[in-house]
Amino acid sequence: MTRYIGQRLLSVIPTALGVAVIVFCLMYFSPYDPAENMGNMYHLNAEQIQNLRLEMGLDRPFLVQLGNWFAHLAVGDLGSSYVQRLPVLDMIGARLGTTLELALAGMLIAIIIGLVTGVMAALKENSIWDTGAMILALFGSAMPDFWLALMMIYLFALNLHWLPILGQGDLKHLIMPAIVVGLTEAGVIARTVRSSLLEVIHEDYIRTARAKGLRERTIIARHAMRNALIPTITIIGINLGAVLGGVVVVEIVFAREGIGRLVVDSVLTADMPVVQGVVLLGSLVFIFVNLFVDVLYAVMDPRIRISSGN
Amino acid sequence: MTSTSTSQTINNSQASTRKPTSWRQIVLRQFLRNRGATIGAVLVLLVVLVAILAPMLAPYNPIEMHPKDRLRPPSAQYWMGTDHYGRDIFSRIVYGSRISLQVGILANLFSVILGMVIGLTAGYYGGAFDGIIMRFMDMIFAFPATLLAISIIGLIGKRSLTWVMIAIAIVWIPMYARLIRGSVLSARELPYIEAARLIGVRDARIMWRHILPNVVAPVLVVVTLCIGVAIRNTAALSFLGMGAQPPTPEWGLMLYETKQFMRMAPWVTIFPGMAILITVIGFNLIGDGLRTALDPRMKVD
Repeated sequence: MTRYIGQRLLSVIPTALGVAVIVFCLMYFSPYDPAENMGNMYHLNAEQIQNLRLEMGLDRPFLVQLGNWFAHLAVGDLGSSYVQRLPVLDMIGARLGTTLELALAGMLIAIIIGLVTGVMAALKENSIWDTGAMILALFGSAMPDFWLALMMIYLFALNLHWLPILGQGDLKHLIMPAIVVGLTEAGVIARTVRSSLLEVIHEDYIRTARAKGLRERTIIARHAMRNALIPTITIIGINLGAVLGGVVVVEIVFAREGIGRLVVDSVLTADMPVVQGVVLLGSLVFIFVNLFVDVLYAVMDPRIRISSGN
Repeated sequence: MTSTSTSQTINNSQASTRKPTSWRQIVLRQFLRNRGATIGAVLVLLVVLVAILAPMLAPYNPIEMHPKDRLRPPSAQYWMGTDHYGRDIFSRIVYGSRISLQVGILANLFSVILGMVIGLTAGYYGGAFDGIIMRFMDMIFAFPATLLAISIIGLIGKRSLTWVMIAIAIVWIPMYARLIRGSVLSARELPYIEAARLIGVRDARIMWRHILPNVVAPVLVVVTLCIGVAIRNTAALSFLGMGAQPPTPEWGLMLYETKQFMRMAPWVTIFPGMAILITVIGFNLIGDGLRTALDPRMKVD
């Protein structure tokens, strides 16, 4: 097991380095000239802009600039915002909590709803419960999250006054955004749970479990679910990127000061270092979460451990 | 003599009744038997018809303002009401269908073509070439999709529908490349490919004529599912102010422009969102239907 985790950890290194190179290239080959951008912002003349360009090292060869980028990364320096003049890392750090809170709460809701509806649909296959659950799942996975957010604000905040409209801080402010993120992700999970459970339920070992007189609940919970969960975890892992995207959009609608707000504002004000920093860190988080998911499989499914050991 | 000819005609007629059940027909029959898929096909057909017939269906010019009729509720005059500039929401939604379909199809076409070139060559030649290309694809895959699309738009510094389309397309190239490479790897070892190679058919021709047809079915399923996703993502990016620019009647942009009027005029946000939802559901249902319809054959293969 330790060896497997070690192997997977090592395999992350080239991907992470590659991601850092791609982020640098996006910036390097972008038609944006950061010096000119700053020059326009602070009303500098052509000569001052040229000096700024030299000072920022933008005239250096590609490889030298790439080396500098890595040298700064190595000490955790992601540069400073053009607009706010603050270190990018600090700006991200200040907003991380808000975003994590929403991502985790949304994911939790998605998993709970997805598991419950998926299991229900599979156990009552072809019943009205099954059809209802799958129609819900279809709507969930097709739903534009920003529109669902607007509709919930209209219904629960503007009309019924049950919940606050915008902002952040306490649980009340988290409910609507988390439900939006959760509902839009629950559909995919529910469908995966249903189809993998249906596949497992017809296996021989389930019939054996029934034949030896185990209770139905034990059969489903201990024998069927354990195998049905493996594809489910895969889908949850694959969808983490979508969750991050959903969180960005939902944060904007609910006016939460998270990383989504930060990256959208930076794109709209051409604050490149911040965009670059968020993309880099976002991708690294994504890579490590996927690594965690891989390790989780190995814990759940001994076959994966053994085959990788050989 | 007569009896033989009769039996022959019987045989012939049997053969001719059996023959038309080609693979395509089986798939079509499977697809039509699926109620969800039929509903999806009807929904998509509806959207396509609306897009084609837009000039005939829309009672008003979608960007024409009627200052006296601002934020009017749905009525006989304005079927879905008007927005804050007095523009007819129904006409805007009708014209918006053209934009959404175009974006959904073009974005996928772009990534399918590039993904196909990459996946075919990597899968067919294998070896170090394959290794390097696919590692690179893995790296692009390591970015969360929406975040990558947002940053491509941000770093290019151009906010328009075209760039949204390109950004979405770039993000999906690795997915198509992987999918196609996988199918190529399994097709490459088939006896008839080896036979083609032995009689000296050129690589490009083998890839195009003999390997590509094996790849079409799985790609088709993913494309249909992804057209819906592309339409929704474009709307999302326009909603964030990074895509279509006013006064384009793009569905996401319509929501972005009118969300502050939602309290007094809910129709300004209800209808554009429903248009997105219906279109995406339509494509998702077709995609699911195609997947189930194509599945038996894939298993036989």
